[in-house]
Amino acid sequence: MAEQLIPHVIESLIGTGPLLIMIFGAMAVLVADVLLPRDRRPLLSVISLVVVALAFWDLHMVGSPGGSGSESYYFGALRANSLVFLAQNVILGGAFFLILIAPRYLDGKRIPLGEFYALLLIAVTAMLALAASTELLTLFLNIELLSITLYVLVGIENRNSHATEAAFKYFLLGSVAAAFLLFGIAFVFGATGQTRYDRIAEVIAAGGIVQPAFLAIGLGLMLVGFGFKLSLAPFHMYAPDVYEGAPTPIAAAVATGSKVAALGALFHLIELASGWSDAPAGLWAALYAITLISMIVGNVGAIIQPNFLRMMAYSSISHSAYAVVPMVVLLRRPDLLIDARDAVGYYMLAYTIMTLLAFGVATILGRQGEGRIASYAGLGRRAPLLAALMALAMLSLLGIPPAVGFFGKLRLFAVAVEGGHYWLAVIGVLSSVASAYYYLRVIVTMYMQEPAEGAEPAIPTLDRVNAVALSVCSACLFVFAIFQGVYLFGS
Amino acid sequence: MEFMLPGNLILAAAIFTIGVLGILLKRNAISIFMCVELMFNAANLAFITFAQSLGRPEGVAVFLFVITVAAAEAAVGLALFIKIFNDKDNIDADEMDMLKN
Repeated sequence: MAEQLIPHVIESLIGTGPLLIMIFGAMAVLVADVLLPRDRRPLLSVISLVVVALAFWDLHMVGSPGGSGSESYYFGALRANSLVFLAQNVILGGAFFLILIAPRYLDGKRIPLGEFYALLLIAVTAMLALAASTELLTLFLNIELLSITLYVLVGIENRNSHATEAAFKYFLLGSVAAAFLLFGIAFVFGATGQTRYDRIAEVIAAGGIVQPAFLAIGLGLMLVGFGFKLSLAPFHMYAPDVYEGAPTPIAAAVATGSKVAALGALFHLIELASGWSDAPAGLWAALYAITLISMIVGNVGAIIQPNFLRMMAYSSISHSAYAVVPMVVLLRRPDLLIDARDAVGYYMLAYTIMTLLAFGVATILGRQGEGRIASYAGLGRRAPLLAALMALAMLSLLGIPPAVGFFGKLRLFAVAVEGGHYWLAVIGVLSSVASAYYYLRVIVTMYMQEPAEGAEPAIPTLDRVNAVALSVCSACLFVFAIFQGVYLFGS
Repeated sequence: MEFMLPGNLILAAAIFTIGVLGILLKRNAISIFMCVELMFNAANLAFITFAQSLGRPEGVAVFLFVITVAAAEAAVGLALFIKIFNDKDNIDADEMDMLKN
């Protein structure tokens, strides 16, 4: 053991290079914030961009184990496989986009730049590690690191009492969810005597579970913690308030990166649980019920929202539910592991691109109507590019074919049908048809309604960096769809 | 293997339940946060109990990490509470109702 120790640690340090780059980058931003003169602070966004780009480069230097292979680092604490690799790419890409979009919004709201970028980089580090976590304590620490930095980021806009209220709600509900998660972890540990997923799987396979009821209770309580992070109903209460009150780029991070990371971590856990062949049906039924309720709550809730950000919050509740569908199937059909993994991975990518595009446009429009859908009236005439990009994002979220959203949903529901979960697929398709109402309402408001007399807000200007970032993001909407189309139908 | 339900575990479950009930019934944010701390400590007690009865040291290690995390969380939470108290002279969770549709 001792002679393997040093090589394993070195291998782990190299394999988790992107994490190290991000965490040292966050410290560099904090130091630079102190050293730079006040009028040079905007340089911090450039430093953050360089850090994220370096981490992205290193992620590709390390590469993915390829195919269905997997690699484990730090004695089983972190795992690298195709899903983790994809999730980490999506998280870093999203962070790069947000840092490009954010500066003017931050200026307008007088948010301190040093703290913002340093905390954002730490949160991104936690997301990267969370997506790879395959050990119970590592999972808990990463979820808490992510949550605590996000609590601060949500409330970072000091003079805005709405932001403080959002942070307050996020904090209280988040810490309750963390306590449930921790209590669940204690019971999983108590049932198996192990904290590493691979060892737990061995114990389960060998029939060595000390007390099966504890394992079921533990996994059930852990679902509460994940339900909060993914804002699945009935743990979604905070989502609309946080999306509305938080700075819009942070709401985007809560909606995308944080969810992608939690989806990755939940997938590892479900993969582990699917190996437990005589698991009580209650566990599967609980996940099934949560998924169904979230689809319905998300779509019904979104219909009545007059505020765009609140509408996006409910829409993201239903999109999380779609992404969990393959995991419900996986619990019953462990043989569909590869299909489920690919479907969840692709949906992470698709969901992040279209949600970031929508939030990107909302960030630029931010200072006008503060997100009321009515304030987007006449946008098609006043700001054609922004309106067109927003319309693209809405159509893709709705699942109109040539964009990524369609292929993402297609693959998710294909897994559900293949695994014999017809009702999940039917309800999923029906609820995404119902979502047409509120997505199309945004487009109708932008193109067919005119703002009230005298209430016409100023035309939002678009600088070159933002225009390029948004255009690249919308191009991704089609590029990845074409790849997927060729992959699915080409062979 | 025969597994006895130790008294510690029942105590942990009872403390956790008290925490959950407190969150549902209390209105003051400090009280709610104290109930969250109760839940964390119930989980710690369960970890120690399992570590003892299974003879695995990981449970004790987890407990040390959890104390640290709870302290970090309390620091952020109390800062938020002070900010809110300065703004509105109370920290009732029920009066947080500015964000609504």
